[in-house]
Amino acid sequence: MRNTWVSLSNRLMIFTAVLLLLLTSSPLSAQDGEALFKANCTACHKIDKKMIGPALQGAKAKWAERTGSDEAIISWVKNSTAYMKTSGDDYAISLFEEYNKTLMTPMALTSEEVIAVLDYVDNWVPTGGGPVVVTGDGVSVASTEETSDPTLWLIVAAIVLFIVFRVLYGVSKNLDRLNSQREEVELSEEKGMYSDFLGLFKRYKVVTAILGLLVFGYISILGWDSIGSIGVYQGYQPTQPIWFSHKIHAGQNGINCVYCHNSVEKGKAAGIPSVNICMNCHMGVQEGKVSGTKEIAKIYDAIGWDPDKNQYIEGYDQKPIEWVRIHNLQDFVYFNHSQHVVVGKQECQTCHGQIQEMDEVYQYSELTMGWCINCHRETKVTMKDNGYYEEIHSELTEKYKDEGLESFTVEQIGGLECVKCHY
Amino acid sequence: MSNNKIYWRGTEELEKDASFVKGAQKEFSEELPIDQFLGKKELDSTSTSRRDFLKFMGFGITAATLAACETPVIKSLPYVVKPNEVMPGIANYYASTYFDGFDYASIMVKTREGRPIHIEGNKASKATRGGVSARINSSVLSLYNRRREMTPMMGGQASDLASINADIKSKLESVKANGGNVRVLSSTMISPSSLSIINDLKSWLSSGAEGEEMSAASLEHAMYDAVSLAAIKDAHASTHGVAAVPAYNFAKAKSIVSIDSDFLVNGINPVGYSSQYAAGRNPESGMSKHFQFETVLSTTGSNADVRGAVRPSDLGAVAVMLHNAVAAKVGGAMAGSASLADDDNNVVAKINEAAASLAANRGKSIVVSGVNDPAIQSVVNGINEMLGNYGSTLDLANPIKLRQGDDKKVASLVSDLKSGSVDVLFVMDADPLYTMPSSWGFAEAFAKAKAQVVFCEKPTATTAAASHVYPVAHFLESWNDANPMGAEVSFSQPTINPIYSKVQWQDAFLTWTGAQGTYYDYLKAKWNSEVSPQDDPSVIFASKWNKFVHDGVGMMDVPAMESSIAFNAQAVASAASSIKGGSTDVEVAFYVKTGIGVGLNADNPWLQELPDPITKVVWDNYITMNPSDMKSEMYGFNTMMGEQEKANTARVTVNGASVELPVVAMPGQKKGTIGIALGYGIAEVDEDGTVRTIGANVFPMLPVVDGYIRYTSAASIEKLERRYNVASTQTQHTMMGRKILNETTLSSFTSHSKEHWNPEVTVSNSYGTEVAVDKLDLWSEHDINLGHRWGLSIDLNSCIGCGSCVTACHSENNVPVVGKDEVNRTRSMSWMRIDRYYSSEADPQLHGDINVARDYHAMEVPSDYPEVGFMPVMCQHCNHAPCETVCPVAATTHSDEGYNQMTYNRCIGTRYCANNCPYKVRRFNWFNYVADHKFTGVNPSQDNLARMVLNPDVVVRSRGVMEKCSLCVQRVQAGKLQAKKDGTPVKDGSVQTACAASCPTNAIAFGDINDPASRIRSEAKNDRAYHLLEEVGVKPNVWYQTKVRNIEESEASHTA
Repeated sequence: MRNTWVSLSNRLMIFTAVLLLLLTSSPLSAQDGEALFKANCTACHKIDKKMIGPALQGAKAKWAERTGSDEAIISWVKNSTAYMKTSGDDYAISLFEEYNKTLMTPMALTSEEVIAVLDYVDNWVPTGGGPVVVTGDGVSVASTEETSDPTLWLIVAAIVLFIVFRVLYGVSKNLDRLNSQREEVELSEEKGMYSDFLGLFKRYKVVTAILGLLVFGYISILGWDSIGSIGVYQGYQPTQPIWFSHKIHAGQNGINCVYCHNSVEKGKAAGIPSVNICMNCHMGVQEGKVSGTKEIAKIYDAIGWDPDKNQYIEGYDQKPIEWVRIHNLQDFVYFNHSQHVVVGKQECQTCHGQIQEMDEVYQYSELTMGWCINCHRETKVTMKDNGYYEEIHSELTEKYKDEGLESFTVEQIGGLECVKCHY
Repeated sequence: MSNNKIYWRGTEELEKDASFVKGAQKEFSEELPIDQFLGKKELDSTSTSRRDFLKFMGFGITAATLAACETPVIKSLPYVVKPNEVMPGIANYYASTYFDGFDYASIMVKTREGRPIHIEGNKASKATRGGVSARINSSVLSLYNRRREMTPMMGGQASDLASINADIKSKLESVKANGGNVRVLSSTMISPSSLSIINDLKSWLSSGAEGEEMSAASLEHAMYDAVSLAAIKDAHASTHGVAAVPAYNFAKAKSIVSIDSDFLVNGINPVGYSSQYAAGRNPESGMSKHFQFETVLSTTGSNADVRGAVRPSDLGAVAVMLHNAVAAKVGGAMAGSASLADDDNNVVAKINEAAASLAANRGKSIVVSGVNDPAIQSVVNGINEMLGNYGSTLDLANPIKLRQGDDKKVASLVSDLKSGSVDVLFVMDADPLYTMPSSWGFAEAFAKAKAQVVFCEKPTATTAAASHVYPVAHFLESWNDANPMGAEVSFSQPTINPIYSKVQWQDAFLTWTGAQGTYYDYLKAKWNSEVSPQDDPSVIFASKWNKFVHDGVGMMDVPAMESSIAFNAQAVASAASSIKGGSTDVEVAFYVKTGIGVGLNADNPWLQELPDPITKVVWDNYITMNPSDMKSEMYGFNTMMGEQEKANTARVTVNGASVELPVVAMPGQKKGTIGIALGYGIAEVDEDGTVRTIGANVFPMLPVVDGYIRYTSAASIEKLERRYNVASTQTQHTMMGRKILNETTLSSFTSHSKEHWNPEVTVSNSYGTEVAVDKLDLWSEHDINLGHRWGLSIDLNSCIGCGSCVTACHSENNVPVVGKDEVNRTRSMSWMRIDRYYSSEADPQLHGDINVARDYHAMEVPSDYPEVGFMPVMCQHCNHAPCETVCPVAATTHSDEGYNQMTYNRCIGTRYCANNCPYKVRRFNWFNYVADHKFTGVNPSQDNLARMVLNPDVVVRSRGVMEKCSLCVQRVQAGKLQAKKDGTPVKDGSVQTACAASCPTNAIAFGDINDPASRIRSEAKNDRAYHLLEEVGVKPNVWYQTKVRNIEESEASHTA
């Protein structure tokens, strides 16, 4: 029994060792090279273009030709500083100087991995050079948006009904005529469809009056609603100077809102990011899949970045980007983002909608006073662990002790008072 | 029996004249000329029918309505590269320094998105103690003055700075090589670095051309003050051997005697001194007694406990009499003898009283004089010396550096100029062609300099005559340092990217002498090395310089003064004997107004619209006169002013020069004298298309006596036919015997209980029983004890009426400027006004036997020499506000935090609220002040540049809405938000209204009455506290603290 156990464990050990050997010694495929390249290199290198560092395609052959083996380039990639120090390779030093003396981060890669990356790079073929073909997705999304308007369907249905009604009416009239001819009753006069209608109205006066009142009421409600919607721009989605997608940035890449809108926790304005914040990433990310390259170029145009030389243009006449404001509160309203985000602990999405799913942002909420007040009526203030609220909380608990309230809405601490927002 | 009297409109009606009967049936006595405008041929020939007209109109209205609904596309432009310190929506504060040669303060500049919008005091400064004045907090608007857009000029031609620099450099080089004279004329210069830059130029000039002997080049710098106090310095040179202006400490003084010194608003360091003065005026803890002897009723004089009105020529006699009265009491030596030429105000008795008070407070008193006469100043020094005030309330070892102007040096500069030997004259921070007395002949002397280089921010009288006009940056765009007194240094830093000129004169000087770097580098190098590099734990930055600039103030090492201050009694005696007796001719006193100062910023509309503390007149200069003089047969002037009863005008002639100005009544002005303010006649205002020069310039009339500019002269006055419309914000002068500004005397305050001097207000209920006001009520109670309850308390004992709060409120709350015409229609928009009350001879509170019905009109008339009180009034934020009840649209409502809220966007402009307000503090927007052409010339917010001064947190109200004081709710909300973020209760004092923050005397307390630790809570519970018009029962959240005059109760009524 015991032997069996020993032999089993031995076999397992051998099996594991073999498996490990197989795994480590197996040649890395092109897919691995691609993954490694994307994970480690794209921040500074492009395959066929200079970026912060040189273009990588053909580098392996060039180095091998110069030094006779791949060893040099492998140690150069792994730790360029050490390589320059130990080898004193003039070419390496000249490369270092050519790229603004930017040190390359030492790479924790094995030699095989380095070769895999270089092989992937060498075998890479550009996909046509033009913009990437627009996928069917975008088109289908657009078409559903167009036809989703119910008004159009209602109009079409109304026209169809009207035609059916007209045809049926004609058929009915013809049948009447045929019937009367057969029964040899002479029709006194030929009445049109419309005069028949008027006759109906005259006959059923009460019904007509009720109908009239209903129509009048309906029109009044419509009118009232349309007056109420003056100045309400819910759904407002202007065309922005840059096709900036929150879906890509906040959604897919998961960039925190506060990274760009960095005054949202400090002041009343959330802040439209200045171009230098865009450049933190777009110094590296110079191309995008759909129309990114064209749009990113607009940032470079604003701040004066030369993507070919990878440096700022000196003495450039910088141009601010003229974004179109989507959320416009009236001048007589004071709104403070930090009050709501920091103190009130509200998520951005509460008022701005699922912004991480919007390509182009639109005004999600009504931004009317009724909308503000509703929220102030319903939202409980987070008073716990905030020294400011300690006293008022105990006073309010005392005031509302009959109702047994322990938490209070914004309204109950005076959040509906005019002067909280209007001054 | 019924009354059968019949009244007729005239004999025609009585006689039933036929034509009258016919006319009586018609509404209009004449035929209306309807045919004239309806019977015109052109009307018939037009093709537009009535129907067409209605169609077009209907379409037009609909189209316009629809077009108005269209959303404007609003662009939002973020920075390309955002500066780290700028956060949109969040204000930054920068420490800086205001000094224009006349006013000084260490300040904090509030900037929003890189533009300065508000100025407050820097609490770290010992010299100005965190205060500002109206002139200083208004200076933020002068930054956005379009007149600052200037072209550099050379030889009358437009030029550029590079060629001017080259030209002056070559001139200086020729002086350096060939010898010559360079002169610098400036106002008082307190910047140590600027002075050393001028010195650098001097040594560069005298170093001569290379390889040659020292050249004969000379450079002299003369400092010149438009309102000179050179005599103080010179008197100290003769009496104490130190040519310095001592630093006064009014907080320590228990007895203050001022001989014509307006030290609270126009003295040497008014901001610091008013703060010290108020600190020593607390009736609960030893209140100082203030005597004032003066001619014109000044702001300081109106705060005095005992005021003696004297002729200007009698001021010397007052000093000598005071000296001898003090000497008699403390056993000092008599000096000279003098008597008053004219005394109708018990001045002799008041001098003796002052002497007794001084003698009782030896070493704790101050005698100060604002007369620019070394003899009077020497006598004053003698009194202070006798009382042992030097070293206690007067500090000669750490003298004050403000007002260093030297009249004698200026005179010698003028004679140098006249001789034609001056090659280059530099003028900076001064407008000598406007402010110099004509007897010096400066204008012709100026023209004789071979080159006149004038550095200026905006065009002045001097730039118009200069050969080189060198535009420089505003102080809010500049680097500088200042040494106002002792070892204190205060720094200026730019708070905005320069709008117009980017250079400072110091930069130009550095360029010419071939020094490396800018003035900024110079300052930085100086202050980094100036201060010994010992480790200061408070220095968290790399250099001392950074800490200095951050804090705004610091201390420098000053060499200890030699202790050779020896008193020279002989100098006092000879000065006293040189003082001559006064005259009884008509005399004019030239004085400085609290708003306009010396006129440097007379083009600032906030200052022009700030009512003068005494006369309450805006936008004008005038002759002040005692009303009983005005009514006398000799003149027969009308004591009224305004549109209905226009003021008389008069021509005042002084030594051949004359000005024509309206005459305005000023009770308290010495009879037989007149007063005219300096600083006018330079600014122009465009009043709806008509450009008017405001007032007249009287600087040229100033006489120069023994080399000192005097601010008084004999004059003749002649009544003119022309009547002139003077606008004033207050036409009532007395309280008509009511408890409006409650006041008492110190003796009453200390010896009686509250009931005596601040009795509870009672009203009679429907049964005729007197009950306390709060027992009767129309309204139900608000829940005022929950959460915050904001309130104000105003100490009428500390308020000096200076108006700093009024301009601060304008700046903070975007209050529009409306101009003279609208003020005349009582449509001033100020949210805060300071009511000034004169005492009357017929006051039932003072004279019990007054019969109100009989003496009603007498009660309206102020005394000839009245007591004066100031009372700032703004919205009282009543808990039971009458305005709230009458608003048909609930635009003004009550908040649980104590506010009476005004919601502009709800207001439909019925003005019921203003009619129902017992305090008359609501202001109606009769016009769209930001667009209406009537206000283009006066309201700065019509100019796109000046709009930058608007506070973005406060909405600019539109036409047709009511507005009023909001208790700076935007600041309170910001303070609460900060507390919520920090998770702490709002700390008392962390939130201040603009008026409270700007008050140099700390008279205004703002805070949460529900906070047991707050200052407002203790003040509201104070015995001195009362509500304005408490009997109305509106329960305000604003308290006033009873004013206490340091006089005996028996004295309270006299003042005759």
